[in-house]
Amino acid sequence: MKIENLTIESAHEGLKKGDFTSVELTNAYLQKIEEKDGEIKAFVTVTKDLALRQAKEADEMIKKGEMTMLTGIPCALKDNFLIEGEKCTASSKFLENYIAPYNATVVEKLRKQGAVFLGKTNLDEFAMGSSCEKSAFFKTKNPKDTERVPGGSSGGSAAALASDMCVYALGTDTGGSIRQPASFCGVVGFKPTYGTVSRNGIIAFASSLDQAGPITKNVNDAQIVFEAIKGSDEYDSTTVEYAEEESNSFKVGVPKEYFVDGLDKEVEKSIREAIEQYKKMGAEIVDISLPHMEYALACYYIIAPAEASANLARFDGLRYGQNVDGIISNRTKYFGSEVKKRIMLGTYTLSSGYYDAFYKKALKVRTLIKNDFDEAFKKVDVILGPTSPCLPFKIGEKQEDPMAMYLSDIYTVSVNLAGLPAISIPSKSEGLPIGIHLIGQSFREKELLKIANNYDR
Amino acid sequence: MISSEEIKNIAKLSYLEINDDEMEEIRNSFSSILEYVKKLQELDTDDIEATPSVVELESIMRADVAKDNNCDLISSFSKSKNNYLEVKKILYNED
Repeated sequence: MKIENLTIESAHEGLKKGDFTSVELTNAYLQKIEEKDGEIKAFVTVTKDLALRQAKEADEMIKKGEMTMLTGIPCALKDNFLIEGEKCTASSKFLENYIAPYNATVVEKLRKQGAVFLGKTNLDEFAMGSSCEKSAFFKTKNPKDTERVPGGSSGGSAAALASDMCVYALGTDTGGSIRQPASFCGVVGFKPTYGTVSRNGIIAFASSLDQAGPITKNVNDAQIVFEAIKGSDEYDSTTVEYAEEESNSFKVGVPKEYFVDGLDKEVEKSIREAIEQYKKMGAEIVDISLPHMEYALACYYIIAPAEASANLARFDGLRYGQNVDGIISNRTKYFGSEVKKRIMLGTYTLSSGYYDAFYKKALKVRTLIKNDFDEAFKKVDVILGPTSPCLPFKIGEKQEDPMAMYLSDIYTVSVNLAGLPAISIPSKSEGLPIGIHLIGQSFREKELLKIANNYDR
Repeated sequence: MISSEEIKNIAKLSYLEINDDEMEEIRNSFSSILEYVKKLQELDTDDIEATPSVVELESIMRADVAKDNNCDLISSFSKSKNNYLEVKKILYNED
């Protein structure tokens, strides 16, 4: 069975027409994982028994005519989504043996449609990183060039999809963690508006920024998964119900602040070509400005660690996770260095005497960054730029200097600070993958995805 | 450059211990990050409101009745007694 070019839509058609069963499809993907994952190392856990059980159930649903778009389709989840009865590690030694006691809301929603879960994918520990090198277990490789990183933190999900080890995958995005790995692996990565997808049952990193979303082969698939997982949830008070206004306007904003030193020449060329293509498609290209763009990363590196230091306080080893000899020993022994660094950075900026100068200041700058977008969206429908300033880098290349690694998120973090939806789609250029980043207005994902789909087609 | 004493104090507040081997690396990366985020001080934000969250947070009220309580949380406890989490004594008299 050939699975290389399958999308959600084509796999759905195959299942519907009876070309193959979900069990056959699932077995084909499990076979692929067996052949390929020794090299790529995308999966922390392969949930073979679960997947085959779910596939059988899906085949029953299909027989009974209870099929939806995702019924029987095998997918992979980043290892920070809780699946009841399965390990959930967040790629941390702290949770190496942790078994999830309940399902994340997103997992429940997918299960209602009869989704099949192939396994849990690698991430930077607790989603803190941009290369998957900070996983406590192993480094995932980029399927397009195995000497390079797949990006992060949802690098396992992007690599699994790019090497055809699943039909689609889920990731989480706090500062670019869906979009940047999608960009590095040459696939589509979509971070929806903050508040559209429930965070219940997803291991928290920075709660005012975290949002789950799909990593897919094309924009259409991203739309299908988004429709399946969105919706308000009584277990996440930040989720909202909304109805999207329709619009046929097609104005693409290009911020002058995006084309600065540090942007790789090849990436820039590819973005300029994408702008030209949008012009040809009939888009009006509008020069815009996001004057506080240069402050976004600094703002992010105060807010995200501050929230992380609070969220990770729950890991004491008493209620779950590793327990050796007291809270301090548990945390010291089982957290990795990047996680410790970020907890301490957050503790520092929230501590008495530094709170106003760092944390409160960052929250105010966040307002300025959000205002910039509000102004820009008075003139345009979407904002176009690069997802990452650089090409996928080599494993080990950015290990030494923390700022060099953090800078690879420079275009993505502002979107999380403002809560906006954004998507990375692969550019049409030759060579290593380059992602085109399209940012939309809050709660207007349909419009964003439609404009993204025009290029993707 | 941030001092070792300061790092030790932050570690203590974070329920972490930093050994001497890790100290230099942490001091260096802390210093480079703090140097970078200083950039925010260039901006005048006196009249700007803070944005802790982009959505309006509303408290969701419900009756105080347990539901979905078939979920097994106890098996992941490090120690339990009669379905309670057992921890070391934290409140006691001096004598």
